[in-house]
Amino acid sequence: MTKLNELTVKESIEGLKAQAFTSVELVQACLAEIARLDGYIKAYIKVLAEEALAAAQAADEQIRADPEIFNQKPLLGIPYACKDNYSTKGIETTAAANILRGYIPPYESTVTEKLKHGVSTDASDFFVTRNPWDLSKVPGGSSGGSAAAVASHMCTFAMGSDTGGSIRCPASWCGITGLKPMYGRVSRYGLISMASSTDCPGPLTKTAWDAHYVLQVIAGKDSKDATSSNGDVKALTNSVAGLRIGVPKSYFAVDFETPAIKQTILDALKTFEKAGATLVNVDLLPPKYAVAVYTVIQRSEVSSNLARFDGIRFGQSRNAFGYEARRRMMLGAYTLSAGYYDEYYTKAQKVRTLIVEGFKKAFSAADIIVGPTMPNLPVPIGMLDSSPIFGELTDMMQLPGSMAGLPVVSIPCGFVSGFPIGMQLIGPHFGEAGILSAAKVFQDTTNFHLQMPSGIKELT
Amino acid sequence: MPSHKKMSAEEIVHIAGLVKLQLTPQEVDKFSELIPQTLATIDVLQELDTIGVEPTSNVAGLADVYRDGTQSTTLSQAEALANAPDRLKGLIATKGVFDRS
Repeated sequence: MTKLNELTVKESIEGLKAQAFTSVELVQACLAEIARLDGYIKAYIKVLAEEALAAAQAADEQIRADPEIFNQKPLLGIPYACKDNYSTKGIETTAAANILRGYIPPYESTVTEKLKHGVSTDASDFFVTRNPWDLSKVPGGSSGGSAAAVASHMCTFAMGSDTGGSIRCPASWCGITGLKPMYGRVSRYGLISMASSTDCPGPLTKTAWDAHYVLQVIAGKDSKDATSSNGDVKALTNSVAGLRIGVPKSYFAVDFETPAIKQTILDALKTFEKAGATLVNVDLLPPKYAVAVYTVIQRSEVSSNLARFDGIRFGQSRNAFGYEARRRMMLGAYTLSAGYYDEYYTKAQKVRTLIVEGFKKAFSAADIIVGPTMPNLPVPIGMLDSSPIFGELTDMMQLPGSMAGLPVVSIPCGFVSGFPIGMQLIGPHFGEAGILSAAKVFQDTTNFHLQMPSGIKELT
Repeated sequence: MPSHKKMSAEEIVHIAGLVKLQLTPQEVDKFSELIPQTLATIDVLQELDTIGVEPTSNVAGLADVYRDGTQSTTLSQAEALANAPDRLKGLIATKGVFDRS
């Protein structure tokens, strides 16, 4: 029998509605799994057990009084994990950084406010989080805690954030569904800023249906975020018949760790074809240009955003910045400094325009674009320091979508050497429903997303 | 085109000053090699012709966003002070801006 913590959001809501089980039982099942597994995986910074149980009890009372309450509170009683870079009022928020140790936000982020009817635990990566598929490997970052928590069923879904692949990379390496919504679709208010022109809050889930469901709750215009957009999240469709899937040759011409990864994506494209979709070639700039654009723009925005951490109003002194933050700020300060601004920053912004225009052209011939999420398998713990742009190189296929602000979902589409492989589906602006519908059709006809890491089953 | 030679310690300390970082001598040494290395990876941008291309800074497609001119709640004094490590008479104590002595 499926354990309650292994259920999807959809199954959990159906069970709560039918009163087959309670929210308290859902939360207890997740807490029991956290107690069993998190000593090994280390996904959570903080587990808000008492708060979650109290919220679950309150949810159960509301559901008993009105089983239709999900129409108003779509995620009532559902246990979720949240990356520790969403400001949560009265609860220490650290972004897993020493500079924020002890910081207790006096306000709530818009996303966690909207999820208030859910039941939150708190996830992130202050220490090394491990990949549930192989504890000697990383889960991918930086929403790795959130992804590992979902993949090991220590929560029903999780929230992460994606600046240059930070939802899609760990979703791919942990074998789950990760949605980076369109830039501006979900309010950034209260999300600790990294690169403000590409930061996107988004869900990590067990299915595409769940990602769409959570997106409907968190999307929308927010007066506290001037870059947020209005626009309905369209309903899912159940068919890809007639769908034009763009296949960018340049995304398949990169260096894969093994040709089997590329083959897995090509096989997934055949599955779409069998379901009635048409494949069309599209021309996009090779991802290496997006890597360079991202490196300049992200470092520049980081150096500017991190200026607020002065240790005067909150947090620790600037000496508390870790090496990674220092490295990024140093490059950003250089590329923004007098004499180098035009050569680096303006040039990168111009190439960013070329990337945006390339996608616009591609979307006149295709409805969605499909490519690999990662060119390599999860790397061993400790390997991330080998290059100053190691993260950019492994995330290279995700950076074009980030730079253009497009919605992208990564879903599992096969296995290589026992590791899940992710494929990304890229949509035009406001095109989340299109990519998630295609992802749902794929998940309706395959079972890659249902596989569970076997190595953690026997741990106690 | 920049040559991406190792940067001098003076240059590194100057950049660190721009972002108010105090670096250890080891970090100065490390960054003097690392920054040129990273810049070398950015050189691919020069391969693309961007004459006449406008820079993009915002991809949300929005312009002239204003909020309603209505009052909204803000933090109380106690809330605003709660995270400040150094306080003075109900205010946040800062370092002197003009006091350079």
